[in-house]
Amino acid sequence: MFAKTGAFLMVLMMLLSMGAFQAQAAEIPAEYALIADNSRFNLYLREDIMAIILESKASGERMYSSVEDMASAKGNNTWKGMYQSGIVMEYIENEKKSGIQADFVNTPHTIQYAYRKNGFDAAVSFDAIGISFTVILDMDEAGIHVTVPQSSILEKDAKANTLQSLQIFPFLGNTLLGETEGYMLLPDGQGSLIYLEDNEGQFGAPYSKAVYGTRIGVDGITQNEYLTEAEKIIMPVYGVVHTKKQIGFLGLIEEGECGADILAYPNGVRTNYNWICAKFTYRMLYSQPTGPSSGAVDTITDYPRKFDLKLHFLLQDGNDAHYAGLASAWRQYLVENNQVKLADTQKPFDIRLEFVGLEKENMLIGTREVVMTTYQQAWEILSQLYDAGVTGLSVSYRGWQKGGLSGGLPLTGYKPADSLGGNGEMQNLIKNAAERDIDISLEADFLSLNGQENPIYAYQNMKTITTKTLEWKTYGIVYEIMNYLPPGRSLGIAEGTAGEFRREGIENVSITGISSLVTDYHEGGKYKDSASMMQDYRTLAALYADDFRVSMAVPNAYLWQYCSSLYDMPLSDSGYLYVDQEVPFLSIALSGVMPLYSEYVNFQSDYAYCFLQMVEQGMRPSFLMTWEDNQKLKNTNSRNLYSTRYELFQDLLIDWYEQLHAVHEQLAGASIIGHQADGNLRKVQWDNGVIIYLNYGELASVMDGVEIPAMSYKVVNGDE
Amino acid sequence: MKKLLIAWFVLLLLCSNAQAANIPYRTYAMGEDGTLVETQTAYEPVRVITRFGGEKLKTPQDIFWAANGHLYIADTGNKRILEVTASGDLIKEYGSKKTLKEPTGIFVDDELNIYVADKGNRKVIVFNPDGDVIKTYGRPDHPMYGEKATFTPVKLVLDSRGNMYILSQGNTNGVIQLSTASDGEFIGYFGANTSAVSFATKLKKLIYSDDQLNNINVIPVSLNNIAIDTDGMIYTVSAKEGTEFMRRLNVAGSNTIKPDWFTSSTKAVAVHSPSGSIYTANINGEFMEFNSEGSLLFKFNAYDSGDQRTGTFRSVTGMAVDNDYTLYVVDEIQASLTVFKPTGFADSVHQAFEYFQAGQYAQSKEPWQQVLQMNSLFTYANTGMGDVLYRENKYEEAMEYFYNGGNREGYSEAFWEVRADWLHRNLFYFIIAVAVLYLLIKVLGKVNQKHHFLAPVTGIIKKAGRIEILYQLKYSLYLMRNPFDACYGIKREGKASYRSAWIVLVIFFAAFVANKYLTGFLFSMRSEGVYELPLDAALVFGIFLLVVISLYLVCSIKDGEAHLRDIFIGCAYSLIPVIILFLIRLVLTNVLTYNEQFFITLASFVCYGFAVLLLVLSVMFLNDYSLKKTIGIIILSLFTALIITALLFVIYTLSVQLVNFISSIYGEVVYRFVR
Repeated sequence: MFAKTGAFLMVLMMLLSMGAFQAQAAEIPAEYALIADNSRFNLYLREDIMAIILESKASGERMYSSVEDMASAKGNNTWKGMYQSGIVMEYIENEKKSGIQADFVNTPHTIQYAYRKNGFDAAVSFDAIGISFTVILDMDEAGIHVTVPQSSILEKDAKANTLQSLQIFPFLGNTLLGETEGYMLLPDGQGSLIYLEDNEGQFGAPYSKAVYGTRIGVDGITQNEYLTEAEKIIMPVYGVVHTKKQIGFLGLIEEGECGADILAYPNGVRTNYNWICAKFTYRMLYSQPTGPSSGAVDTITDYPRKFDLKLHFLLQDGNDAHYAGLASAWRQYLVENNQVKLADTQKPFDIRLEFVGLEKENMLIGTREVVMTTYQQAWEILSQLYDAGVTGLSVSYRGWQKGGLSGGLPLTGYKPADSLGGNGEMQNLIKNAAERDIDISLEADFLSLNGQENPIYAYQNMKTITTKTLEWKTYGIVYEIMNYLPPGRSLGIAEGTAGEFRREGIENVSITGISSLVTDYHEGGKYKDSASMMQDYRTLAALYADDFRVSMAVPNAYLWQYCSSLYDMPLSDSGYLYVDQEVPFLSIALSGVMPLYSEYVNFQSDYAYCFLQMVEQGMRPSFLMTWEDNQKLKNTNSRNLYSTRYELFQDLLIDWYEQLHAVHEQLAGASIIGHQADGNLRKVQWDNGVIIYLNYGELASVMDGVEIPAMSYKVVNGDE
Repeated sequence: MKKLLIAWFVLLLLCSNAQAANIPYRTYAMGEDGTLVETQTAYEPVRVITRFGGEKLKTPQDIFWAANGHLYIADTGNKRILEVTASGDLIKEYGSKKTLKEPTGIFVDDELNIYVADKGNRKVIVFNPDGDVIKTYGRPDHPMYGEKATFTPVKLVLDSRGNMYILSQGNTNGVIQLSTASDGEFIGYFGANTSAVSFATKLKKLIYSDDQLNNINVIPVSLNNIAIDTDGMIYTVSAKEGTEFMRRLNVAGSNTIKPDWFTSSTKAVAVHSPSGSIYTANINGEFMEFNSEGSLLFKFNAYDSGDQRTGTFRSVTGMAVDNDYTLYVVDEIQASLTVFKPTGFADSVHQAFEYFQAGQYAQSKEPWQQVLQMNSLFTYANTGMGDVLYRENKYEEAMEYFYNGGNREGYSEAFWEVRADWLHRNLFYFIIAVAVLYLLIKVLGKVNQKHHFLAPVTGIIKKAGRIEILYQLKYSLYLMRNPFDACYGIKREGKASYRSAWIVLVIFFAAFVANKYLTGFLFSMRSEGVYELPLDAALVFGIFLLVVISLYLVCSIKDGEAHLRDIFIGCAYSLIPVIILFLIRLVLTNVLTYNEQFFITLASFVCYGFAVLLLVLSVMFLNDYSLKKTIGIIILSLFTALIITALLFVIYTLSVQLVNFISSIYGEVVYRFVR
């Protein structure tokens, strides 16, 4: 009886709500005019404040770039400018050395539109401030493209005012408190969702992170021995989905990542609105210390970061308005625009082993070598596993070079350590492994600099924009700090090393360090912007991609096109309190496109949980391995590697391989197209029809009529 | 091995639970050298709850895990007590704005009566499970309670005899003990924190008069929280640092635990009764778990520095633990309850300890092996395995585990067994070898007397004795035998030189270094893997030169006869007994156990004493002083050395300031005018 009444009420409510949106669909505010469309969406523009409305042609549902109901909006004028203005600028008053907001509501301005089919060029000018730029907007089947070319930015009186930052449609997809169902998508680790619910003022601070990681050359390195680092943003995207209205977008930063931050404000943080955007910073205001202990002067960076701002909104409606739908759309974008290398798409399932070769410990005078895995022992491990049926192996060697894992930094050439067996044994290992179709990849870190072991490089290190040497505490007892090589130097030694690798017939290289750093810095007394660092690293990656099969450690997205596989990839997000759900957005986007290897399984506190994550995400596990016992590492800088001994992991490796191999056999080359979470249960749909159900709970459960035991999974073939 | 692994994997499967995201903090455990080392996550945050059935928390101050499996939260800001489940369901609400004003402490007895410390009402209020107030307790009027003593209950516990132990704000006499059996009668004060007596206070005590002393207020540090286990042991924590930050009080009120790690501002304490594990948390989210002996098992600092990550805290106020080692933590600023589950790793550690405490050593072997598999550097697992193997009479293996665990007592005992065994097997051969050697020497001596076949060797030795520097070095031994004569030789006859003294000093340094870095494990106090040769050199040569210069300065104005050279040589040669000691120690520390430690202590005492004696005598004879004057001179010299050190320090500080000043001006000029 109850059920019946409930169903009736639901139908009634649905009818009512449909009626409601039809009424709403009827009226686009008078200030707005239709200026562009594609097969699925209409785009309306309000000229004076450059506000837009996106409308799904199929459902009539809309997303606004401005707050709709300004009459009841709370906040001061600055916030109200933010709520409405299509573009929000910050500029620096050079005299006062302070940043000020300029927008289309509070600041005198002119916008001259030049329309063309499905787009416009808008010449924006804040005359009183003396800053002008052009906004180019185009709409096509792939969505909306917004560009602000660097060349169009003019600072008439750069001595008076200079451009600090731009935000493009910061309030696109905004919602008030819990009025609209849906979520904001954060590019945190694998990806996280903040539900558009009323938080009752629970959260105090927004999500604000630089794309491609903290600009350590600007903000310095903050290290805390007791806390782990939050995940970096490696994918330059953010999104909003209104689930009930079935409309959503993925904001994709095509160019200008070097200056971009992602900001997400859940309601209750400063305002009552939920909003997320990318903020592009051109110049930075910073405090330049004048002496070692006291005194500082406010300073502005010497020149603006050099980039064309290019933001692309991928739009989804209907059943695709979902994080998995957005991830799929992004995947398609990556493939079509050659942002990913498709070489190893079909690589059969394998697990990644990373061997630790050599470390160093202190001696009475100097240091001595601690041998953890010789080349021969590595081969012993590989052949044991191979004979036990683990035939899919991908191997990387860390600390293989003279000086070892922390003593041999940066890598300055092909120098296999003699204590591990020298070049002869190394070549044997590679040759033997090749016969069994196992790639041996050598780890190359061209970024980290051990000044104690390599004093010649110590005076050419990277500095912050306040000219302080960048130092990174190791908390180790052999080498207490590490520095960084500036990109120019990295590129130089990488070129030399590539030559030696080629000569010795090395085919696989694992690049770490440069893969996950983007920052502004100082070198040789000059400020260099983050765009130049990205350019240098791109050159380096391209150089290696030409001759080697390259895998990179958690690489930033702009380097993916040079990689055959990615490793050390996050399995989850940072776990922010305001996040309601973590989603494997990254894994979905790259599924079927590139092999992804996880962060080390060794140091996970719950192997069973970790195993299910591998199954859910189609990720391949990665283990750090040594032949010797970890006791040997306890007086080295790697004393935090507390469990890597092969003997202890052998059975686990074989077991995981067998299980995961069986799953991956059904997934060969397929991509994820659907993902659903319901409490402890997950349902993952692959485009070849395979569905995987997972249960992270402590009790057996049923989903879609499929019973899944506790802490287990079930693979269902679509044909069944 | 394989079976074990599979069993372990199954165990992990059973223990696991749906964790969220990356763990924001690193977990540390005690390393073998007494420093913290990183280890696997022991507790992971599984849930943060701010609302129970729509009811939001407001500045919660305390939490209690009751026998019915429910949690009771003192929802202080909302003037109520909530009975909830760990998954976020609201069971019942107790109290109202009328009955409760500021409930800050809570305890639930086995009949599920709820005892609330209401700070605002200055009363303890008791609810029955139906939510009715069945009793209130106010300020005791007992004369022993103290005239000025206030009653502002903030936390409380109840023991099985019905005695309440109440922490009252501002009352520093100790824990207030009231009997519920006799209508709240005041029983007495219990286990006050000893007052923190600073060095300055101690100094004052020495010089102040009685009147002055009476005016110094020494107030004991007040207690922040209290817990009780099923055996009736009372646990308290306070804001103060030091090993008394957490105490376990027996019935008599005396402390029975000395934790080997501590922190400040500790706000919460909880005890896992079955095992005796004690949890403390400070206001900044620094969590520690101690075993029942006070050894630190795990520690993690989960402070929210503004990043708002799950499992970090702004201001921890209360904590509870259930029988499965699940932790429940309330934070007053976040107004939240965070649930921490032990990981498979922590479960293995707990299980091993439980077996061990129950005396089931053999059973503890398997969980210890599991722990070592996940973290082979985990000290307790190494020590635990050592203990197990020791009991299995596998002494050599036990030694290795004890060594890895840094457990010197265990190592000593295992080594004693190994050594006894070795001696047992080899003593006979050893005696034979000594006897043969003795005979050989005798025979050779006899033969040599007749045939002089060793003549070339003795010739060389004699010749060497005539080389000046060797002669001078040999003369240092003469100082030990006849200091008076030797000093005369040094002073008047040039029997020693700077060169020889430097050589002795260098030998001393070599012996010092050898003794420092090669001392056997049992007697070595240094951290492994750390070598500080430059510092050692600075220390040895620096102190030596300082002493020599100070002595010389004082002697030269006190009519001493000695030249700088003489004092230098005298001091260097006085070090010979210490060199001998270092060599003896080097051998002994590698073959003795703690049972024979006496020999080393004795040798040290004799040699150091001899060295000091030689130094005093050298100064005396070289300068021709009386003994009394010599002692005066030496004291003066030590004082001089102190002043020189202070002077050097002042010069150093000033020059750093100067450099800073100049570089500041340079920096300012560059940034203001050049750029």
